[in-house]
Amino acid sequence: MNGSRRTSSVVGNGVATGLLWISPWVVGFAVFMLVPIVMAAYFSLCEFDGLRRPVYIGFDNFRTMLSDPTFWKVLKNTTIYAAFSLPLGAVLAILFAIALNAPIPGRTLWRALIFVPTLVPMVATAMIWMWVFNADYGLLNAVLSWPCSLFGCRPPSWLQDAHWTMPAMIILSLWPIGHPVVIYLAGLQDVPTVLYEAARIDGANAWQRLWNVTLPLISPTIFYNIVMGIIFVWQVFAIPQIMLRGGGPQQNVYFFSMYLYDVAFTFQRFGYACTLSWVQLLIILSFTAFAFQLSRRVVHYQGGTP
Amino acid sequence: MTWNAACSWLRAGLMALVSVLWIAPLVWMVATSFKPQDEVTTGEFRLLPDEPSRMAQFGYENYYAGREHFVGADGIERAGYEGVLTSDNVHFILYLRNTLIVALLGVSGMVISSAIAAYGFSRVQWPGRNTVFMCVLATTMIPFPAIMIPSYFLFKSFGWIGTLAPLWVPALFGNAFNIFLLRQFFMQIPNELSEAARIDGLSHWGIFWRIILPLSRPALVVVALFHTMFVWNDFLGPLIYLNHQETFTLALGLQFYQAQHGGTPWNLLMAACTLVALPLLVLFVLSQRTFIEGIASTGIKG
Amino acid sequence: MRALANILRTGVITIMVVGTLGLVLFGPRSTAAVPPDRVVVRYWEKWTDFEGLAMQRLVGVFNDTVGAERGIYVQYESTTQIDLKSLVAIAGGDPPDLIGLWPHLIASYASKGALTPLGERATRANISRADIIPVYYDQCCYRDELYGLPLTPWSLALYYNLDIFAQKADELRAAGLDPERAPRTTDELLAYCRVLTERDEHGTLTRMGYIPGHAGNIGWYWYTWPLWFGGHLADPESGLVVANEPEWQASMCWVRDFAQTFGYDALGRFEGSLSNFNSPDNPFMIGKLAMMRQGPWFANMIRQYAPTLRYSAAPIPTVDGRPRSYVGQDILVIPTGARHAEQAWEFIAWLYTNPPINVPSGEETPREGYEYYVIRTPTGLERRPMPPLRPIEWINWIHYKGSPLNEASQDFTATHPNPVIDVHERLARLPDAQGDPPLPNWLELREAFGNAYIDIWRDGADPAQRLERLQARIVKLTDIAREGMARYGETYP
Repeated sequence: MNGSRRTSSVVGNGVATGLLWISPWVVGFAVFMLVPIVMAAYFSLCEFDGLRRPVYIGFDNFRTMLSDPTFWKVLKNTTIYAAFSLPLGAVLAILFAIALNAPIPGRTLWRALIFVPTLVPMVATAMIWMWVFNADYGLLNAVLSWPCSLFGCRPPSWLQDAHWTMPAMIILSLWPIGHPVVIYLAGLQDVPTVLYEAARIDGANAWQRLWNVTLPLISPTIFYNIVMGIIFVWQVFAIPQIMLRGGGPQQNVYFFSMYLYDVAFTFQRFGYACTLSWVQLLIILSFTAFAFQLSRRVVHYQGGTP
Repeated sequence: MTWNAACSWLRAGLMALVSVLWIAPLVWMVATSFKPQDEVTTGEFRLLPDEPSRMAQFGYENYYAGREHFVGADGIERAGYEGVLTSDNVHFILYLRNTLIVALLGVSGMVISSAIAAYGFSRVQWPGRNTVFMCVLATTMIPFPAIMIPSYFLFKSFGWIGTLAPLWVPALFGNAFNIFLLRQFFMQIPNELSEAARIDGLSHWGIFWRIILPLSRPALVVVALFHTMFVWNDFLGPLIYLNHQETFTLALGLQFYQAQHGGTPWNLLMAACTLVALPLLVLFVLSQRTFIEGIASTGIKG
Repeated sequence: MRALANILRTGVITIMVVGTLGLVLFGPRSTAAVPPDRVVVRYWEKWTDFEGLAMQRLVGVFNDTVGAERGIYVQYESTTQIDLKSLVAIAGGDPPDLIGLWPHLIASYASKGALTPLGERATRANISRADIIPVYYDQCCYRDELYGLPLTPWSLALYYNLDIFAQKADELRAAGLDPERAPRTTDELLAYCRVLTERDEHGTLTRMGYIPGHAGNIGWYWYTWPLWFGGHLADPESGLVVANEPEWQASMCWVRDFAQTFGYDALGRFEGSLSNFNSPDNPFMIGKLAMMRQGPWFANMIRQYAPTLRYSAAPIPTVDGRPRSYVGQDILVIPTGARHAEQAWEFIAWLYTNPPINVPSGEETPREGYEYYVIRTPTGLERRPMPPLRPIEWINWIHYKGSPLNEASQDFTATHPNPVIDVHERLARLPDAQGDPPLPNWLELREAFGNAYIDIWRDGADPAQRLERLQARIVKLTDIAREGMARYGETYP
């Protein structure tokens, strides 16, 4: 990281000193992450109901998983959700950041207002949006009723209609967009204005400047946000769990972590749940690895690779 | 020039529209919490109650006094709804206290431990440092749901289930994300300072305590704010570790409140949401710049 | 200006810091004050509102009398999603002492050793199967061992709106139906439904006679459908769930035909427009649904939210018109690892064995069920002093439910406030009444059935084929459960 800056040494260095300084973290990691991961690996090979001691059963849980329709359903749902909310969120956040980066009147205020939703706790977010999405009395349908009446249709029952639950979740995922917007804004501020001037002199229009100057230069930021998004999106739990426990109509928004929770704490199959948790870990790792692989070709680092 | 000015006003208008759109659910939340119950579900879109002059009274009822179970003229006992803060079934003040305990203990541990580790990764030179640091970063990819079940049984063996301990003890050891953030900051502090201190006879600990920490106050505040946000947000942890109402945190208590009565009326629920969200919003107003700059500093360079 | 902002800022920060410290140091630490020198029995119950309040007052009577004598204090803690929280707490080694659980969890919990057996204690306290309506007692058992006692039992009935029936009397008669009574067969149910259903000018459904409904939404007890067609939720011989039985198929064909009759799209829209069940906007109470399948608590809800509504209840329509019954209840259990199991049992036993009592409301205005009950006399409604009832009967009285006792007391029956309680009572005593099968994995099987049901109800899946698929899934899930139990040396079911 940050390879351009060199930090020279001070006296009293060495592996022992270094390890001593990072030892609090190492202990915490070992106890609260490494041990659980190893335990999960063991439980995933066990029949375990949480009350009696686990019994070793080999890879039966993995076989069960492959023939479990709900597993495939939640995998599909989570993929769809990720496939829409990640790119949509990225595009929207970049657009907002670009708009807010220009010296426009009231910039600080707009920035603050867009950021505020990220501060609302997720449980509250879920409830506020249950109210906003309410088919009869909600804010969204009150706003939509006018354009809908023009086309002679009715605004959807967001959370009751199986076709609309997924769009509702995707819309909701865009609400806390303030976080990436702020990061993109910081990335944009690092882009030297000289480059824009140069592009302008070369006769590039706004679109070309965006495509050829801005995006390549903020590509590390985009990459960072996408990786964080992948990690986050595969864990999504609180909001759909509170709004539509069990995934709502036809289980269309039954996501991976929700199923994991249900298998463990509703069906008391802790062994199988650990199998699912390992799969979740592997999925996140492989998607992230894929993103890193892709980044080698697409991401442009100023001053060389990190 | 005029073209440019018009353009920027147009953009401002557009951003104003977008901001209003983004903030609207929150306005709607607050507005609903100041309405009487029967006006919430009329199907007509109104921001203010029918009699705006009585807003204060409705707000008072929703938040504080409310109506107890009452006997109607027909002699039948009916369910009235008590205000959020005075309800018999929920105890938001207690939940707030628990949340604050988790936040205070967690934040202090998180800030100090992350800073110590970040120092080890930035100001102490040792072979293999960068490799180990990459490993630290990789741990941010481990999702909590993946380790929640074994953690549960681990904490059970510690006898911590049903207590607040699982929510703050792990924070005492720092976390990868905050270490990363602080390391970035520490590396920007000129080496000459620590070099000079070294000559004055300060040990690593002295440099850390007397020079690095005081200079890094903004970054430390950011870590503290992040962790406070995390504690306020955390739902899955409390959901599985906490069993008794007297240990509930705000997030869990809010969900508990919502699931009551087979669905709590919207005006009361929105009042509760407002109360839960308020502390963080105030914190944001107070430390807006630190907040935004802190977030900005996390993701600039992949 | 800037100075002012700074002062304001400092002020707010000071207030927050002082408030935080003050709250942490001196804030409340528990939800209720417990008298000293008493053993606290933590009692988790799902009820809130008027139902929870009634239980709290009953607990209060225990605490003031027998509890005070024996040094026991029962602490009522209302708990949402009690099914989830209970297992988590038991597995975590931090359980409450007493839980109000549902019967479908008894097998699952008991098979894992999560519940304290109560048979011996019950015998010592002279509580036997003969005292309790058999179907309710049996639901508290798993493999011949007693794990709980009924708290508030119930059976399902068809509630119907008398005003809508009267309003449509002529049309019902024209269709050869009797407006004075509820439908008795499933064919009649569909026929009534056709007459009672109304649409607006766009063809949108504005009122329906009845709706099978979405699992988990308005379709309460959707999994009972096979039962009304003469089927079994679990085969009585083998104890297994057999989803491709003809009765299951007939029931799902009926659901499919119903959906086709009214249109999938229109039904979806109609379902989406229905409000929260537990609210004054309940579709039955505002006349959007003329018939609904509910338990006796529904009469209590109607009294709360729509006291002027005219309604009645009848057995649920079945394929051949012979009444059938589905029962459920709330069961008091003591989880394994409860710190005060003995004291918790004292409370359960008190409910059943204490002589009749009065429960004071503790308020200035007298309340129905506490100080008085209401009786209809020729001159109108009259208030009479509430007779003392055994605790277990009082809680059912106030919840509008029937008594779990085989022989309900004279006072209980004579003063009962639920106008349709006799229908529920009759149904509870049908010899072939069914409840949830005592299978440790019933929840999973039910969820698999739910998926099939929705495919049929919403997407018009072919019932025969879909149920075959469901059966394959059930066999699979059963095998998994069987293998799992075999690893602990047990047999399934």
